[in-house]
Amino acid sequence: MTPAISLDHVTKHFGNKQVLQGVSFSIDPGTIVGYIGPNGAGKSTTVKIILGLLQQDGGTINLFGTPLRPEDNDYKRRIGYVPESADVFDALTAREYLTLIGQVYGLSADVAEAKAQGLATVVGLAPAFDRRIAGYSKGMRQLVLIIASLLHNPDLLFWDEPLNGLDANTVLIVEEILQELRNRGKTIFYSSHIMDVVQKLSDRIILLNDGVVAADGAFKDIAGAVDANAGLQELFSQLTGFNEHGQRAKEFVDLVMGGDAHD
Amino acid sequence: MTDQLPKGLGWLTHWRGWLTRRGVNFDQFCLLLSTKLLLVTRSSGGLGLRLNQSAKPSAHPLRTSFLWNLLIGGALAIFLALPLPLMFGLSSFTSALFLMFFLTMLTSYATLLLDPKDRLIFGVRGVGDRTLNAVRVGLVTLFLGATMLAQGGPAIIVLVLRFGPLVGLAGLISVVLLGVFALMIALLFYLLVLRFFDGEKLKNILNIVQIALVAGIYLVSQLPNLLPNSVDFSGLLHTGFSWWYLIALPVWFAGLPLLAHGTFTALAFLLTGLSLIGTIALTWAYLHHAAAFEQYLEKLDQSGTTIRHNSRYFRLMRRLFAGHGDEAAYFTLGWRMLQSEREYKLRVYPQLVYGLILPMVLGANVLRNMSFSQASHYLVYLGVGVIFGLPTAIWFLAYSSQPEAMGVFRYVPLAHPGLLLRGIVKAVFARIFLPLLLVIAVVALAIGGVHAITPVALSIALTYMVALVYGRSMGPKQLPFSEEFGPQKGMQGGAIGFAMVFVSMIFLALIIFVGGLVFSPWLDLAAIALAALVAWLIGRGYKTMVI
Repeated sequence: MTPAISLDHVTKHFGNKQVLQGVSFSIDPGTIVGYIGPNGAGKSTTVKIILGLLQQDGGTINLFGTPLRPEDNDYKRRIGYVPESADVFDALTAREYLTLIGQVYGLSADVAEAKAQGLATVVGLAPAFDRRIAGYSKGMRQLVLIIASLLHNPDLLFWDEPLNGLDANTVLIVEEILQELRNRGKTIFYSSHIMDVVQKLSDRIILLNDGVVAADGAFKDIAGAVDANAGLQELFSQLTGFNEHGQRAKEFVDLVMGGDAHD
Repeated sequence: MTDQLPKGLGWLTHWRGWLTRRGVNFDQFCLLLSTKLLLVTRSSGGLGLRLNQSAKPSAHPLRTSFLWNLLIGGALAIFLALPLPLMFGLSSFTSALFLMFFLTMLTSYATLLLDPKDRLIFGVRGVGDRTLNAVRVGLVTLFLGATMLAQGGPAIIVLVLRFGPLVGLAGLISVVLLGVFALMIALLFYLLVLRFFDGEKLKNILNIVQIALVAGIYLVSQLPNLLPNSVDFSGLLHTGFSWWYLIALPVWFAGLPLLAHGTFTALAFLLTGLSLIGTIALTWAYLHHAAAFEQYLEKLDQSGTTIRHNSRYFRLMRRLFAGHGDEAAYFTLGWRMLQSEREYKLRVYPQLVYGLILPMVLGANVLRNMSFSQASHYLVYLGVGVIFGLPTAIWFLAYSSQPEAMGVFRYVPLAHPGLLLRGIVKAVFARIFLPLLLVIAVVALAIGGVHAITPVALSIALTYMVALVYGRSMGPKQLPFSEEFGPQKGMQGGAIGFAMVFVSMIFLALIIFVGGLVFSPWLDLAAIALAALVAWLIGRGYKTMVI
């Protein structure tokens, strides 16, 4: 089977800092991959390179068997992207924004608008569909981004903290959507700091630490190699070498309680 | 998707072939251009944390800006309406137009030119760099076209009425060439900086380039005024060839109307040739690297890792101007915002250069006929010229790239919002104006010796007083930094800055003229005392400002 995506010894530096130090992995279609790591580990840089926003210093990337070249753009029509920061045009309504994005992906205005409205209705965004995004809650903006990433029926999804701000019911819907997409052959790159959700959804987990792949495999395999009884949260701490949570929390609260704001 | 274009832009479809050959996806170009225009017309409301409910923003900011620019255009047309030799009128007009146009472009459209977000939103969705760049340049060109129409239109009408339609047409072509030339210079300089610098250094260098560009354009525009042998006794330009024509870029654009008028001199041919070749060469060079421009812009979105330390100067200024209480915290906020708000710097710093150079240019004709000792009496007062930069510096305190951050003052107890504004206005003075005044002070002391001490002190006191007065009267009518920057706001700011120059000019001319003429330390000391008293009274008034 041709991998949906494969990276081979990809490197990248900013100034003196080596952000990616030879990242390699290969992912088959129809997989949900939990792409995790501490802040600054290089997750966003990897995604930006794949999306053509940055150019890697070394290594190769293949998408559906074809090497990525900086001047290519058409491959992006096979990708859906939910960025971590909600970069949307606040002055537009959801209808206008989603129609615009659909058209950028090559859909006609009518098709893009109808599809966006349909998707918005399913996830409960219809009542606000013709309001400017500026007045949206964090969760509503997130739904707009999720719909924007799916309008063109992409084969490969990059979702960075997709559940930000969503209410509990919508989280369940989105989780089900992800699994349904996977069952229908889509490949999903799922990046989040909420380890419970990553553990629950992912077929495979790639943990990046300091620009290198620190762990790669199904959750049970990683747990088996490190601590069979631990959850992903504990494994994350062990693999990134951080065990000062309790001490840090105590120090923090001590400082909070030591203030004199009420005096 | 070309049906997306607004009605007035249907003519762009004629450019489909040319743009497509240059690697632009024309359908995406039309779609994004129309969306961008829609976004510009939908002004962001900001936080709405108003200090003065009676002050309402303009309902038609673009129209207001156009009218301001038309007013400027009317003033520039006077050069051609007066019964002066055509060469003098044209070169004065193109120099003034170049200055105004360049200043408007750098202060109002730098946001559009250097916005790195497009690639993040559209680049990841399959829009190529050449298409993104075409949209960027297309949008800026539309705004600049409107600006040019307003600033250059009245002069073209005067040319048609005085010299006939052929000269008018040549004038129009020259004005268009001038606009393209100015835009391409700015883009190429930005491209160079983006190519060779990264991180914090990149952002700092961009600001330095802004300042250098404006200063450079001012200087080359004013070469006829500043050079000793370029103007004859009656103040008119020599019409023979001089070496400085080669670098007096704005004067190049006087060549074509001269030829159309039948002035077939070697100079007219040279100027016309320079204007045509220069514009074509710059445009070709930029188009060749247009896609790279978008890639390099990505660098502006990379966060810096510089650790901020409180410098001794900052700590001293905070202690001096804001003490230790709440105002010290507001002073710090203002200082840091001024340090990091790239948009603010892009708009304000060029105006500051304007303020530094304009008094020298205006005074050059008068001063060069005096002895050095006589001239030094006036030169030591030129520091007050920085007041030209104050209106823009205060006006743009209303805006920020992250206005939502000021929302914190919605839920924390803010007893005196006026103190917040005062602390920030003081930070503007201490961070932007005082260092400049101190540098000028060194120069003034070198020129005037001990006699320069009181004029220098007067410059500092007056600038501080005017900063507080402007802050109170024309400063933000809501919490500072709580509205989002937008091009139409930039246009307003640029026009207001220009209008305030005239107001400030009368004030400054009075100070420099009276100060230089009387040249008495006692008069200076009396004026310093008066300025200090007014500053103290106005400063106290901030406390009573309410939301």
